[in-house]
Amino acid sequence: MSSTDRTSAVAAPRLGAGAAVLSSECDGARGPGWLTQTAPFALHIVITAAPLDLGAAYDAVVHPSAGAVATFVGTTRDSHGGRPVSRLEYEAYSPMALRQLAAIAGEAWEASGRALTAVFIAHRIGHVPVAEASVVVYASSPHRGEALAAVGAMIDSLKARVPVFKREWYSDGSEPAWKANAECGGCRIAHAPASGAAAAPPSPRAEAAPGAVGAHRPADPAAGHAADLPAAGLPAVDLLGLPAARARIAQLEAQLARLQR
Amino acid sequence: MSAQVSVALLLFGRLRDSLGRDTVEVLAAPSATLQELLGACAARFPAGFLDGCLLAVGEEFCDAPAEATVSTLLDATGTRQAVEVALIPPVSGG
Repeated sequence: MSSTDRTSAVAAPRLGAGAAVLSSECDGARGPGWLTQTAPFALHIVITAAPLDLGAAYDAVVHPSAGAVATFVGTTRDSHGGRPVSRLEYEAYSPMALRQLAAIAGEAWEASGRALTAVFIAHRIGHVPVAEASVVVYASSPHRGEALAAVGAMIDSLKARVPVFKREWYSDGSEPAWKANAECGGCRIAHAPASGAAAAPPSPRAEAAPGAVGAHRPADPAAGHAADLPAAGLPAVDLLGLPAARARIAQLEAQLARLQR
Repeated sequence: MSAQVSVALLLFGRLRDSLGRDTVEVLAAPSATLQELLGACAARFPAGFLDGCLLAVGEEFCDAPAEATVSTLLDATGTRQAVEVALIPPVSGG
């Protein structure tokens, strides 16, 4: 699919009862896009190649009936694992990312006892220099507890299951590396015997690689800490049921919390 | 054999980078499951290519690739003889 393909509307994600006035647009599978709804809570989601506008995020959620605005801003850090980072590069499967983010916001709204007034989530794609924002999550509610909890839950869910992909670039000349979030379920495609039912070579660069599917090891050791995370004692999640993936995420988060104590 | 269906595999991140393209077209029998389809492709991809990947169809994660057949996807999307399947490497947003 080329970046000029235009998806005029993204199908409505599953939201709480009464979701209304949800509209969205996406510039192809990988381009910028947006999604907005006005009820049952105000929701704005943006995927953009432009620098993120924190003022616009605040304006989108501040409301006379809300006494609290909680925020999270994720920014590019200048080092990772002792290596100097020059910038991060993001790409998104944009239509799906919009749907996932809307679903995540809907879940946060439900979890808050439907107390959220408004949610704004934006993710930048393309290159994001050090100390610039790659992601913002803002929420408002009548009292602070719901908004604070919702922001934490939404950024955790974003990191676990929204199809956005990050490559880290270094200033010491080392090869840039694709990353994997520790929160990512890390599901694996199970071994599937090749069958006559499916056919046709997919790639001119194809080469025989027996056992490639389902090999229980990280594809790329440089792909980040997630691969090294507590694989021990946790069963590999085969061919991703999403419920299983979510359960694994919860397990990993609990394990991480214990390790951090 | 019934007419083969064109399946577009959308590639992202590491996958797109390693093949140098963002889409791979494959032909599949309507009776093939997604798992069989990927199994047939795997031997022709670089080693480890599919490790840690998820599948998405219709912009939702596919819960049961061993059960979803190409023909059911055709029916579900109501499209012509073409299906789009996204290969989602480990996500790293935020």
